Amino acid sequence: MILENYLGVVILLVLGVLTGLGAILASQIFGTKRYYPAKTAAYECGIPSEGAENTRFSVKFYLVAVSFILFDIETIFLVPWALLFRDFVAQGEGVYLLVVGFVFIFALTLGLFYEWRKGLLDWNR
Amino acid sequence: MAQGLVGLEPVMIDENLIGLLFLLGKIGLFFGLVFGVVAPVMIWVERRVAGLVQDRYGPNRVGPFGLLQSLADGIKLVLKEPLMPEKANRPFYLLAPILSVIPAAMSFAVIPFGPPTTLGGIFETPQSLQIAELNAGLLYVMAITAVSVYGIAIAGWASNNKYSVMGALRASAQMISYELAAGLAIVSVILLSGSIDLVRIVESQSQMWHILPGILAFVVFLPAIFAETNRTPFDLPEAEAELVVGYHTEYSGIKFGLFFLSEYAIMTTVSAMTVLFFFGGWELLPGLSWADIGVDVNSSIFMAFIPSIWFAMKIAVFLFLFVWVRWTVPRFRYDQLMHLGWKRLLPLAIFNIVITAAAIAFWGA
Repeated sequence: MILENYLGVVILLVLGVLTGLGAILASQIFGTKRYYPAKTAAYECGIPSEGAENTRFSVKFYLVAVSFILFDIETIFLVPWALLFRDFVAQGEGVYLLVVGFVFIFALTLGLFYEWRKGLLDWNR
Repeated sequence: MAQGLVGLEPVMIDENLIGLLFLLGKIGLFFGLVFGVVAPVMIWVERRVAGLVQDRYGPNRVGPFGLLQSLADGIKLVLKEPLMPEKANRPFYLLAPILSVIPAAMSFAVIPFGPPTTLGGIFETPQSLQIAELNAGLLYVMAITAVSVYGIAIAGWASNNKYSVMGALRASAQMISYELAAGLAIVSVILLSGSIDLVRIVESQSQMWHILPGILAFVVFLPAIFAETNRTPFDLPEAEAELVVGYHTEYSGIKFGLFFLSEYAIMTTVSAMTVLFFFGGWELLPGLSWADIGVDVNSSIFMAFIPSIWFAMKIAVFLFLFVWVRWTVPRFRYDQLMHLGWKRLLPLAIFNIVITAAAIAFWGA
């Protein structure tokens, strides 16, 4: 019953794959092919490529990813809270749920300000 | 009657068969519209508006007003040389454009494009005009639009070009940063509507659209979706002045075309999301329903799609906004972008949840 509702999703997935594969195959079939080394070299404004392609990059990118995971999980925890909020208000327990939610949000905000003070969010440092 | 006509055993049209045909019809309509009409037309609009903003013509030769320009470009891109840089990682290089089309195709599965309808009596119970009737549609659409970062990240890494790698890294960092702000803005939409079913979210706005109580959420959500779709002023991943074109530097021909197409398809989905969350979806006006002006969605197939046309017009406004902003607002610097996302939008979104929840707890509505 529930799984039936996902049939449309599966069909769209197949359509997406077919669109992508079909377009790439069509260009393999119909496209002209005349390759030479300068054409297949890595692009660098027309001059021979300089230095390694896999250059090192700032560790900040990793830190952003780590803090994203933390905050995203906390966002997901807020979804059921927000979903049930009106039901609790209707039963007169809104203030209880409000306090519970605020404690959680307070902890989340505390984490954010800790990161802020530690300079994790200063990109040009 | 069917028995008399055919003279064989009674033709039983199976309820399941109609359901399946209806599903395929919805998919055909939506997929065809988004990939066959909206995305190509938007590409034309983008270039035409760019031309007019910059005091030149833009494409106006192919077909009426140049409308067939995208079609001509598509054919040209297929006929172009399928180039692959020799240092590229072959399987992932080919996988990346497909991976960016898949979420673009899947993302609009749960967008309801009209109120539930019996289609003039074909069905006994009103059927939802969604491709997939998921009761957690909001989470689905958030998840799928987030997955589109994989196509970009893999494209940049597999190309083995420093500009591509930098573009892909920037794109990933930017998309996940702004996804937080967007997610928290949506939490307050859930608070306001009390549901994560997109049909219910629209129905909860029949008296008042969420834009009024959720104005702060909208202020957070709008820049966040611009950043998530990598559109100006947040198009740092493509910043052509510093990174050539970022993650798709090494892509040409139809592989580049696939990235381009999926960008516009995702743009359509997020515009639809904005309308669903804040501007009442297919609802006519706050406090004025379709029944009030004599449109009964159950009376005929034609009537069933009148709210859909209104919905499409609302989406078109946001699609135009995307284009308008792109040719008006200059690009951010990267540190400004991260500053805005983490230090302005994220605290604002958290603050908004707090006041929204408090308002609901103390004043009920």
